[in-house]
Amino acid sequence: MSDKTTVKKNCYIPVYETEALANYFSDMAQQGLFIFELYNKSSGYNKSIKFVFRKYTPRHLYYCVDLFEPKDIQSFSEYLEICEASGWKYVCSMEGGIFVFYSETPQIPLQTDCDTEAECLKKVSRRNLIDLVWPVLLLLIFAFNPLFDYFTNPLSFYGSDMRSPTYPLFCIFCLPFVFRKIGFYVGCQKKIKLLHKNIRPMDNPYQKSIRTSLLFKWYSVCLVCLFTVSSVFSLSGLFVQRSGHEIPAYASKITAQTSLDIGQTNNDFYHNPASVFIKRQYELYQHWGANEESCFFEVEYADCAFDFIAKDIYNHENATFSDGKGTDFSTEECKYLKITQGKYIIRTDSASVIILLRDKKGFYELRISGLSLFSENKDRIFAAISDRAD
Amino acid sequence: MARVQLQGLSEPMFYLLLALRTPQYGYSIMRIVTQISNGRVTIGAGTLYALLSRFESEKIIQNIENDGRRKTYSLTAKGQEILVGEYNRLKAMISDADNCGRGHK
Repeated sequence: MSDKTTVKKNCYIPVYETEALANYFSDMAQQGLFIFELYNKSSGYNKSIKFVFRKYTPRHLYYCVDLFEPKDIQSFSEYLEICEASGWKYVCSMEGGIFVFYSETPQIPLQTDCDTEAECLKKVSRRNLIDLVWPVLLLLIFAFNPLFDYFTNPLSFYGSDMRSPTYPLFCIFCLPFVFRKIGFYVGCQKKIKLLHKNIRPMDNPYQKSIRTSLLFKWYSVCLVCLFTVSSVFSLSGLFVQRSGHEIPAYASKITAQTSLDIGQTNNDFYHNPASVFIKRQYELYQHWGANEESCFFEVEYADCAFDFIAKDIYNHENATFSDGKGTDFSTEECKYLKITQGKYIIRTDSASVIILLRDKKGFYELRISGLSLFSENKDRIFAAISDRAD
Repeated sequence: MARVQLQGLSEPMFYLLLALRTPQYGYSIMRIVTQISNGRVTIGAGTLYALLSRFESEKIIQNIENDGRRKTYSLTAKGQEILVGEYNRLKAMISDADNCGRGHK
């Protein structure tokens, strides 16, 4: 197929525009390219259909495109027999029911009754919708399952490794697919309406269809790029502006293979007694309540609390850091530790600050000791949080 | 739309059944329809095949001969009944229109 006598072209005309397709083939024949084969890599009416043209001497031919799904080989033979007897010569067809015929002289079109043609299109449109249901349902379940957690159980949500790849996957696979399918369905319905009004544009120009299709395609591509780029930036979050310094987040240096007492994987996190304890405490203090010993800050206020803690850490010579695996935290950068936005929960007690961190590999806990931070700063932190909440 | 307007058979449907009063195969039906309508009604091959399939599944017509590639069809009793019913309905409509016209005169 890849020799010089054949040319492959993408199909930018929706197949329900049968007249536009026929006109397109006719114009191509006048340019010396004769439709020879239709193929697509997957089933369905609107998935990556390609045309294969063969080069011959240019001439004027009449084409006709029909949507027909043969029940069996016998119905296929009978259909071809009727079409050929009426003057149309079979060119090619594609699984899914697109048939292309040509003739050297004008012939009666294959579809002469608008009602019957509308019925055929309804079948195509229905099948297109059925095609849409399962993949989209699965993708939506995949995409929104972790998001659902966000509303019901924020702590589990932040422990979920599913969250990060969800957005780009959703944008790349689901949105363009759904847009294309819906576009196809809407197009079919429009044409069905026209047919019910006995309107069939016999000289339907295909250029408009191509333009619309390209616009739609590039819109999808732009959308995918936009979401991918934004997701990548959102995921990386490795450089965060804080106190006028651009500081690499420490998460990138920590492999998170060990932790103090919080499991690494999601399952560990959910079932580890320590995390269950923390979770329970978090629930108790989720309205940023506190007692004398410890306090949890909700994620949305953690940033505010962190400002104070970071300042304190910065000025505190005795502060020690531990992630349970001997990572060197003596550098200045760690004093402005900031992991990707909103992915940490801070717990303070009278002796230390425990920051629940999450990086691409999972959850872990960073303990900053040697401080009497909470007791000193509690009121100031709460005051700042209250200001922000107001 | 035509079928809805007529509350019965559409024009191609009616002519197809009319052509099948005697057993016919696909292309001959097309020719007969053009012939009996004096070229006013033509049925395209795609339309014809869709109608044949539908009528056969609704047992309005039956396949009486099959040589592999070509099938010969004829009306069933149900098909006859539908055709006669449609004929009477159209005749009644024409009669009513005539009476109405005379009244105006």
